[in-house]
Amino acid sequence: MLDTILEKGTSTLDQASEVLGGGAGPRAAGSDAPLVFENGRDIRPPNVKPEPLDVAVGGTANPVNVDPIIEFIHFGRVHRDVAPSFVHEQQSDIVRIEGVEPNRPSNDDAILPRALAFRAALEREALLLAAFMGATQTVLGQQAKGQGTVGQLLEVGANLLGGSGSTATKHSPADLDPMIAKVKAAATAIIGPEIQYAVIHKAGMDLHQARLNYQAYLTGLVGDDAPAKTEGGGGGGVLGSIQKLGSVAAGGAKVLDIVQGIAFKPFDVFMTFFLKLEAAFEPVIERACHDISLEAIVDKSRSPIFPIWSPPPPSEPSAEPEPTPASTSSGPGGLIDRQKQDLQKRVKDSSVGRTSQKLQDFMARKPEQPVPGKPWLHRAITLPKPAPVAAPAPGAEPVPEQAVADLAVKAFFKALGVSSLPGFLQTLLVELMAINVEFLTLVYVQLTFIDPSETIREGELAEAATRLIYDKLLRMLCDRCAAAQKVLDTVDKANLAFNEKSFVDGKALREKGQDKLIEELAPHVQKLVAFAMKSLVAELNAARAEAAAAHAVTMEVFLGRYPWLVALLFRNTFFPIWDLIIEKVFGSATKALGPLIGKTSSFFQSTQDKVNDLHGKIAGAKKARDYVMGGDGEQGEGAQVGTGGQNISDIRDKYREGRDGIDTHEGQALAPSEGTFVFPLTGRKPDGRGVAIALADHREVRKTHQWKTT
Amino acid sequence: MPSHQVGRGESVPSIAKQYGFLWEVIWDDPGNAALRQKRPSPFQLVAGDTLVIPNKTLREEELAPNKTHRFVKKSQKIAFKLKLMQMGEARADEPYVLEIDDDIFEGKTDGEGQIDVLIPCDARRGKLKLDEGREEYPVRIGRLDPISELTGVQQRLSNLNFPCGTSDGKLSPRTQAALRRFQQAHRLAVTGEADDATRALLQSLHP
Repeated sequence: MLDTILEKGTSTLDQASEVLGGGAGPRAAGSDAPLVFENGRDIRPPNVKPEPLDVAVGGTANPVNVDPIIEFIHFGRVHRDVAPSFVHEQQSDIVRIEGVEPNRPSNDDAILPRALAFRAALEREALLLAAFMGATQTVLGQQAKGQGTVGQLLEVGANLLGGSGSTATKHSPADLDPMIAKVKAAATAIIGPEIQYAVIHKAGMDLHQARLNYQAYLTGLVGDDAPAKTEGGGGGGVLGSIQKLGSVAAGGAKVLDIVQGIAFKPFDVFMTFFLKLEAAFEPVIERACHDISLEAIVDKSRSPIFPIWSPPPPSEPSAEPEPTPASTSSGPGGLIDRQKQDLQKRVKDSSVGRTSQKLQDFMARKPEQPVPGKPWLHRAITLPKPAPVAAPAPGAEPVPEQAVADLAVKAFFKALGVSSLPGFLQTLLVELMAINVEFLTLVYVQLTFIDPSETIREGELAEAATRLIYDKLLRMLCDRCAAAQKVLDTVDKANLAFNEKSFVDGKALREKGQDKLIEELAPHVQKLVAFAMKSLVAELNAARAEAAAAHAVTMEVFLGRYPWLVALLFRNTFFPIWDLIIEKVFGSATKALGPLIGKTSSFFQSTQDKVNDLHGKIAGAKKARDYVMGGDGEQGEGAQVGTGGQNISDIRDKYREGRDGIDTHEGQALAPSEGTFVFPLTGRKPDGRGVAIALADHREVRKTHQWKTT
Repeated sequence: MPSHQVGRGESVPSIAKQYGFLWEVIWDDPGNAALRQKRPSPFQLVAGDTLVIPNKTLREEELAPNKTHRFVKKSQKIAFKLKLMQMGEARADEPYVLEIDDDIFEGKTDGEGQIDVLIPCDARRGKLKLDEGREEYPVRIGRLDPISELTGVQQRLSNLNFPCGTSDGKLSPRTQAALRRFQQAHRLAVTGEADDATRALLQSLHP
């Protein structure tokens, strides 16, 4: 059986290489989901809404002259307007409309050029959809590569060790191609100086079709919340074997199972979490984007017409932003505080001589005017109050981050095939999500008003992260190490002698004391924060660059990436932190767990690197098997399941080195984006004229009108 | 001779039905000569107008015994016509549903965009549905006031797609805006007032 598994692992090498070489995976059937629309708000201007017809009887005909009703379909909602609203002269959607005071409540005599406003809304919708789809395609692409290489190795390893294997799906990144193509086609159709009603109406329908297809696909991808494997059902791996040898306190054994599970399924955890985020946020974000569009078109004379989230361009030169007060989350003079000051000094020192521009905290930028999109942003990224996975503390108020943390916990359930997590891990997730989501929210608020043409500087974000999350992460990490240590104490060590080797001995860690721990962990936290920011800046700037070139920087560009960035930030912070906990708490205590140290972080290294080591990995898996089964494998810190014989500490160091650089200067090449996003508005021009709707044309379009009668 | 003070939405036919007369009997009664002078159309009265109701007279018919005699009650229905337009063009061959009281009229407009049906004399409200129900307009029958009244001006403006809001007889900013748009569209002096020229044109477009 085992040989078969190993052979299977070996035989997949060629396939894996093909995947890395760009071979396409299986393509999903491209049938469209049922196209269903929802009646939306009537947006006919008040002065054209028909009054009751007061008529007379008798021989004379009562003339009833009404405007043709047109439909504006936005995010699948049908809004009724009248044809004359659509018609206007040439106008740009990125400049303020002369004579119109921005953000003034609309009135009868001040209807914005609606053809342009409709087109801009659909363009924003396309940007959002393309970003959602691009994120999912990116993750599926990473999965495909992982399946071809380490994913299959890990599956082999998991089988060896009694795990449930990968939860890999049969989905392919190419499945998203038709949906993205549909979005791009719809968006491309509306580009041009002449804005035609028929084209705008069709684009609204096509975008909705693409969305429905995507939602149906996503639903299939996410599946239900059922764990991949029922807890305790089969396997148990190394730790399962150990459990059979002696009585182990349930809590301790469970923790060790989870450690093993995470070690072998980091991508499954990441992907499951991303998909849950995507499925949860997509409708919430869309609703907010829809509603702000309607507000900008109907309720407020918002101009410029395209960038509706941002304040209008300033009429005065920018004032020097006020310095942001330092965080008060940590007491002055403490060890964490000193560590933070040291990092800030490093960040600032590294910028000297590289740029003439003063390094600024990204969060210190202040808008000159109220940001109209700010309340909508909070609506977009706040999930409805979830049914809590874990009972909240008595008297605790639900917070938005809790919903995201719950999704993370559920992702672990599903990916690891468990129905509960150890308390310290659950707390870690909740705390980490609170830190990450709070930080990302602040970043997104800044994005609502910063100059669209301006590149986000990595140093600025690193500075902000140092101020806002560094000490929290460090403190949290120390706390979780201590909590994990307590869990280990529940294990009956006397009964865990294995191969005459001491299995659990965390005493040394406890004796080090908290300060010592902080000193040890601080550099690692610095590195992971720097890396997380590097990755975040790369994604944000990649998104901005394409949009800026098309005068299309708008929050939809970023909101479509929000679930992806939450998942990415989770990946870039959780797994290194997890590795540190394993190393500090578990790693020092057991040689058997040695293979798991650094495993999750190293998983996300270049997949190509791993291909080269696959044969070695299989051999390493065999050694692990032999070791577990009481053979003569030489298991130590150097011979590993997950690294194919490569010294684990080398891998870990490489991983960490990659996170060491903090770019604080202009001009340096940005880190590449991981995302494979298609920009749907290539060639977009901000100018447009609302073309008068001929009655004959209207009659044709009317055949496809979607307003539902009651 | 009894009289009837006209209420909002009442017309001679609806009042006649109430008293059991053919509407022509009441309208042609000499007692209403002054009203006829004041209101050229029996279908466009104004709330507060007074209509004289003639006394009923008993008519005797001599009939042969042991035979069946057929009496036909004259129709209590009246013509009701709409002319549907869109952006100034007739909505020809447009499918419609006209719901008036319990009657439902379905059909297509003629080549001039007209709907021509017979409805009960006392019909007051209806509903016009077009485009498979996607367009729906409430209809208030008998509510059209004479052009001499500001309400009549407002109603006509609204029906001709220059909405005034509520037809309340007040020269509100919205009514003034509608008047200006109408005057501008028809190359009249743009005064925002319901002046004679404006009323005359309105009357010709919407009798």
